[in-house]
Amino acid sequence: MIRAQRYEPEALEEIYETYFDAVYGAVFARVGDHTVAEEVTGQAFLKALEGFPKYHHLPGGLHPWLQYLAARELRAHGWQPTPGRHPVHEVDEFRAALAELTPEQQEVLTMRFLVGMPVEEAAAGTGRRRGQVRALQHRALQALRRLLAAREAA
Amino acid sequence: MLVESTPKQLEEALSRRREGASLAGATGLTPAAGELEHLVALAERIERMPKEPAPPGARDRARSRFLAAGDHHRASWVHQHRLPHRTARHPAPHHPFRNFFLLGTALVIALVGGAGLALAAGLSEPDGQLYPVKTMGQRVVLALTSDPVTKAGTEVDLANQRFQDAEGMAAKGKGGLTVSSLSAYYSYLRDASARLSGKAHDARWKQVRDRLLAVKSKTPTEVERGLSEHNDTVHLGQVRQLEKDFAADSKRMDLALGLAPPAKSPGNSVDSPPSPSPVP
Repeated sequence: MIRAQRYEPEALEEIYETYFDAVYGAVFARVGDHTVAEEVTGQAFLKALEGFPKYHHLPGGLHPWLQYLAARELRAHGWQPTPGRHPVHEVDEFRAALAELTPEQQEVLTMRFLVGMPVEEAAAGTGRRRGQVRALQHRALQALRRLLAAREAA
Repeated sequence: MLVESTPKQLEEALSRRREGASLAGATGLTPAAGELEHLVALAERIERMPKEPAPPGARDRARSRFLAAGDHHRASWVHQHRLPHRTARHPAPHHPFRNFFLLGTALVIALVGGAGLALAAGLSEPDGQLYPVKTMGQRVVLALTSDPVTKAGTEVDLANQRFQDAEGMAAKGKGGLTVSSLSAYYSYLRDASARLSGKAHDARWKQVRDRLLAVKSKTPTEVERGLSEHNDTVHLGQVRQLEKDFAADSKRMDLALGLAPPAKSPGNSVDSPPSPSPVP
């Protein structure tokens, strides 16, 4: 990380090769669109470059931080499921319901289940305590259940 | 009645499920088991969402952008943390003998300057700016001379110089400097006499003794005349007192230098000054 903070090309390349696929995969799973996933993931890595000098060791390491940056970039990108479009696939229906959650709930569910991080890493990546992450994921799943039920009823 | 689960129950159910328990087994027999099953199933549904890898083109584009931005950041970082030393446009040529040349030049300047200063000081008179330098140099020379006879010879020479200084200052009407120069003249004579007494009377000793007697025989007539012409009665009186004091010492000095006291003759008064006759 110290080498990355000096922007040594070899260190940056190593970070990219280690984490790009995981971050890209999580973003794509949420949007189902390669163009958006490429744009959001690229922006997340560029934001990471800007943040390297201020980055200090986090218990979860670099991966949770990159996932957190990607979640924020997705929110900043303003991606939403196409309104009025009838979902052609069950996954699209599920993504649309996920997108209706609050940004914090989406972040936690992404880290915990899409990426498969333990509670500790998700807490480190989002800057929350472990208890807060557990409570947030619980509320997020309850809300998602309600949203899916409402969609089925409609 | 629907019983809601708690975050802790959900986390425990997720853990058990990851350890291989069935959905029903993971949620257990709690009243909230129904809801927990739905929540765990939703979590697993999220886990199963398709995570396609990036197409090669997208991956390469993102990589190029990332590394290019990294290069830009690195340039800024290097500029902030490692400013290169600026070299002079026209660096001074370094000759191998440059230091020797500088040292030699400094030595020549010091020698020429020192010699000039010493020469100017040597020619200066008691009313000159460099006269203290001259007397200090003379004192150093005296201090560095260890042989008593040689030292006495130097003191005789200095006494002679002080006498000439006194005459010159008296002619200029500078009474204070006249008195101090004449006082120094007598002091050097006393010191030289004391240094010679008790030493072996070899040829060198006799040569110095004769010079001492020659300088000692000088009378400050010109000095008194000069001060009289300037009506400096105060310093004239001091000069005469110095002369009188030395006259008393002069007899003892003669005896110490091996001069026989003059033979008493009926015509000679007891108080008349002795006319020493040097021992051959």
